Amino acid sequence: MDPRTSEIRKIAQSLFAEGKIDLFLGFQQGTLPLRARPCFIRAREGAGAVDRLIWDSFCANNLAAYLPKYYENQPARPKKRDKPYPRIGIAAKACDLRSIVALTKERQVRRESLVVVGVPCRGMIDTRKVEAAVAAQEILHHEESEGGTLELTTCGAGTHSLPREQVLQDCCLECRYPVPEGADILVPGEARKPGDGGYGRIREFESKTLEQRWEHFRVELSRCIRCNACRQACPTCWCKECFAEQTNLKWIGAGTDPSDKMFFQIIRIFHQAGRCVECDACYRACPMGIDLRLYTKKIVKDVEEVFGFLPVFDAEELPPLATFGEKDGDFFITDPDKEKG
Amino acid sequence: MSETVAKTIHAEELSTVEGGEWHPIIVAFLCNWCSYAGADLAGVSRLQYGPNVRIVRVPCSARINPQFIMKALQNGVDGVLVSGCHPGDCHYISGNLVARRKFALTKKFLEFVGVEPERVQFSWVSASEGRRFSDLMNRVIADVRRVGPAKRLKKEVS
Amino acid sequence: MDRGIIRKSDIPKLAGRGRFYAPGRSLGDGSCELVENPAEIVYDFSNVRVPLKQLFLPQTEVLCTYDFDQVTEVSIPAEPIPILVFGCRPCDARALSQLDAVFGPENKGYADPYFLKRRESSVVISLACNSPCPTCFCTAMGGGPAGTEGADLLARELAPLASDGALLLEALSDKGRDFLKSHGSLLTEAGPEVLEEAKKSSAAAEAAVRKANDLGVDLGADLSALKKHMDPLFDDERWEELTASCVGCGSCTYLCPTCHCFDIADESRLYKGQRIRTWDSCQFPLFTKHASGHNPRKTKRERLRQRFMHKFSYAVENTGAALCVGCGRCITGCPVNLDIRDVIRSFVKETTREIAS
Repeated sequence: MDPRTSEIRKIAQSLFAEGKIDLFLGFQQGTLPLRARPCFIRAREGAGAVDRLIWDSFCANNLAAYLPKYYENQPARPKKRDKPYPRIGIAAKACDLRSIVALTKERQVRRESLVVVGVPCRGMIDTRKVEAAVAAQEILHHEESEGGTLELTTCGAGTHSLPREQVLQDCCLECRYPVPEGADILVPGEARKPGDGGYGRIREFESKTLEQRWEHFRVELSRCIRCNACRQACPTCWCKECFAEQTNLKWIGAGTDPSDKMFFQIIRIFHQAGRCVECDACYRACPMGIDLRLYTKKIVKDVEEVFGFLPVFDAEELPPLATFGEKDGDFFITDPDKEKG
Repeated sequence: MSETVAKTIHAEELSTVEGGEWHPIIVAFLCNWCSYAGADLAGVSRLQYGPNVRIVRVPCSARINPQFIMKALQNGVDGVLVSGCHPGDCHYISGNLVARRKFALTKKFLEFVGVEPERVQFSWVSASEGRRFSDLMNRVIADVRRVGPAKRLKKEVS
Repeated sequence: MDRGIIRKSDIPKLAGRGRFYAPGRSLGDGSCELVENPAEIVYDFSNVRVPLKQLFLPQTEVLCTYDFDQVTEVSIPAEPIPILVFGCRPCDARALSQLDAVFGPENKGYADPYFLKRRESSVVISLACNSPCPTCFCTAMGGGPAGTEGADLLARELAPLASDGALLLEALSDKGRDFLKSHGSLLTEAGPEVLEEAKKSSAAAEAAVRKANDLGVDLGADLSALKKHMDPLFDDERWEELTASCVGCGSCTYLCPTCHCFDIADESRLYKGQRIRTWDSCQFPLFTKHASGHNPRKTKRERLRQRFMHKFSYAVENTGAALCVGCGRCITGCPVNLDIRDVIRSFVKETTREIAS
């Protein structure tokens, strides 16, 4: 068992015992192999409830997605609020904490009501990669070994041993910030070495022709069934009325018209500019396996390269699209007085 | 959206293939204080530019939501131009400066996705730059002619 | 003619003039989907990703088109092109019969012509499961790996299971019998020992499912088994705990072979337009939002409760069939691993609260 499991249980238990939190958000065992799932422990459940908590290489969900609901004001007037804000303890990876910071900036959570239990991350395993590695045979059981491998039992009494690094999520392999800085309590443990950000794939894609890029986009999006899982799983998609559902100005329909699907994804990802922490929640949630990562990473890369901004741990930093820089470039402007080129 | 504006952007009704020749439709979102006035000056000065442009006046280039551009492309326009005051000259002080960031990202993202860069263009035109406006329009029309009728994001509604 | 043996290589020849759908590998990520005219029909898969309902209740369907100059009503987009579906699993076929109960005239006299015409002009051949997956619980829902509801024919792979092997086809309906008769040239006779062998392997598969997922309930034996426990516990605390982790994404609804709620919207371009029907999900907050702004199902708890009550209580009352076939797609597709089996188990015993922990 990952030593972080007992650490997290201890911390949650003491937070409850000291009356510091009303709710703890963490992970518990999933009902399927290769899954852990979100766990909600309430103060009234008593001691022993924290024993449900685990930490392993499948705690990939971004738990920050649950927070805005607890802090919303109905009607949107904080002064009229009649219930106290809940105090929530949350086991957060660095990406989760970065989402919390983004939400704090946008006044969607109250940072002072949260106790962030930061977990230095060794990376989470990608179930799709594991399934591909066993040629889609039914996986019956998994276990993580001390030596850094994933041991699997498949249908027909097959066994497989996969090195962890081989099946980690791409976002984890590329992650530059595996340690949650600014957490209220930091769980002891080693984080993986920071990756390189993964812009290489974007650069490679940028060098393809326009037609190739369009074809990839068109084929990927053709699988979209407009289930909205990407939007719901994303922590920074918190709008009470999504542009896709507006009827008084109807931007797009609800069906699978290709143009509507592409409009939805282009604008949804565009709305993540300066806010996306590349947790890949959207990519994991998509039931059709659409390559959303390529596009979310492009937005992150553009914001970083053009404005020098990356959403990390500083809640005082202004979102890049809410401000401007004197030195912002006009590289994209069409100037009729200049020769094209 | 008013009916006039809606009609402006429903290019299907307006897209013309006269005598077998295709004429592009371009929607230009112009800020009221600078670019729109610049376009007006071009008109008063009888500076010629192609009849392919449909102008939508907005108070400031900051009013432009990338969804406007997407909607125009969905409706079948062949090109979109957004033009505002020169940075530093915005009637609302900093509208175009904030918009500049949005536009930069929009342009890069749409090109990444595979939309021809000639179709979505941004510019700064001031109220006294009638000549610049007509040159800009002619340039944009020529660019859009080069890439042909828009098909990629067009929504087919029968 | 009631049954026959056909070679796997002859299956595409059954297609005829209409469209032919069978399990194949999807272009994008290689998962198994119902594909039109697949290059190679896949047999070793547990289930296709998007269920069979997409062919009868498409995600987006044009109901009629209109033009303000003349209001023209296009009748059920011409007659639907006849389709032959081969290789859907018996659970997906059973889902079709549950949808028949919803969209058919028995449901308070309203018959959905779009759905019914597609059903009439189609032939469905289901493929029995040899080794169900860990998330299958069809037997608890009254079905089975060789279930016979909803399809016109049932195909079973005959040993040895090879890509050039043979299948036993059994007719389940008059349409199925006629189909076998008209394709008699591709069939050879199936002796009683073949049938015995096939039945034995199906029985083994069924026992495997029962063992893997004993949820303590059998809706085949007692359709109201869950209803009678769920109805009195409508306001119970457990709904909060069961649903806390739901993110309201709608994947479960869209991947479910029986979920059928839809939205109708007009999409127009100035004076011309279409009225389209699209899938909708009761998990979306917009689903029950009134024009006044009031939403009777304001939170996730109410919406998720609605989902399960509809499936196991309201549908039983309205149409005489529960709306779940135990395919398990909602379990594997849910991004937070919310498990319908936990919900079922927690209601099987009225007094004991067994929430998976």
